[in-house]
Amino acid sequence: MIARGEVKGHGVLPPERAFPVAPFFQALADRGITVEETVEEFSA
Amino acid sequence: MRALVLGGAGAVCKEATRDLALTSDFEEIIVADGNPAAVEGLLAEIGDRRLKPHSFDADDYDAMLRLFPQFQLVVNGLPFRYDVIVNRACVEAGVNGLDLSSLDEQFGLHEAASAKGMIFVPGVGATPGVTNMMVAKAAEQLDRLDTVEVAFAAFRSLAPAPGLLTTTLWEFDPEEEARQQVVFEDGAWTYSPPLSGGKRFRFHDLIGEQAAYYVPHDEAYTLPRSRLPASGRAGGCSIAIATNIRRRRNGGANRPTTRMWDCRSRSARR
Repeated sequence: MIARGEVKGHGVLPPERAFPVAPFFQALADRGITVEETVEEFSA
Repeated sequence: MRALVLGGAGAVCKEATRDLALTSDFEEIIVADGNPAAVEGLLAEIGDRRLKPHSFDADDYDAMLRLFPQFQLVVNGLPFRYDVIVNRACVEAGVNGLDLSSLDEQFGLHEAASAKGMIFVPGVGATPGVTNMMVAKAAEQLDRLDTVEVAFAAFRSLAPAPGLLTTTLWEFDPEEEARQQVVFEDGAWTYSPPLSGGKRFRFHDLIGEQAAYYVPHDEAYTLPRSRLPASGRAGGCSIAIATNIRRRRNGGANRPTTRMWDCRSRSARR
């Protein structure tokens, strides 16, 4: 993603500030790495 | 374009080398490693003509400065004691890079890297790395993020390589100064001794439910600074590592594999 110019920031950045979220998880999915998501809703 | 992979034939980073060969458009991918036999074996196994070996001494900083400008991307898979050195050399050479591990000191190079118009991303692995992005994804979906807990486990040995053994021993060293900064909560760090904060988490079915304990880890440093959680209220980031994955099927017999308790006692005896 860095080499393809898909990462826009400059400096020394941690992953959460460097990579766009959706393309990052798409890149994982392209490699067969799946992320399970569980959402539990609580009433206030 | 050319990519340079440091430690690219090591137990961890060889997977990054393999991935670059499978998914990237680089015209040349140079695997620089101190173990020529491992490089030769890996290159033969992958069988991609773009991969080329390079004998490399990670303790020779001037050689890094001569080597790095020949590339558009440096991937650092060396043990974490080289994180700052490699990051600094990338900044000095003005070459983009990323690092499978991460040290807080690397972020001190942020201004210098910005001035060069380049980017360096430390901590691009499973944890830190994918875990940070999971938190970023959660933050996008939630109205407000108050507390983050990161827990990780592995179904392989915790330390399959010397570099990772060093990391694991460090994580459970009771005398390690970083233990003063294990949990960030309500704007302040709190001390957590080894094997504290025990909590059970449900991991992937291959691993199941496991007890996990606090270790000093990179996510706890970067996520609060990235304002994840964004609210100063109840802002907590606790990191844990599963410790009771001690047995796996091996030839039909249950044999103990990695015992975190052993790591702790070795560390305490230093």
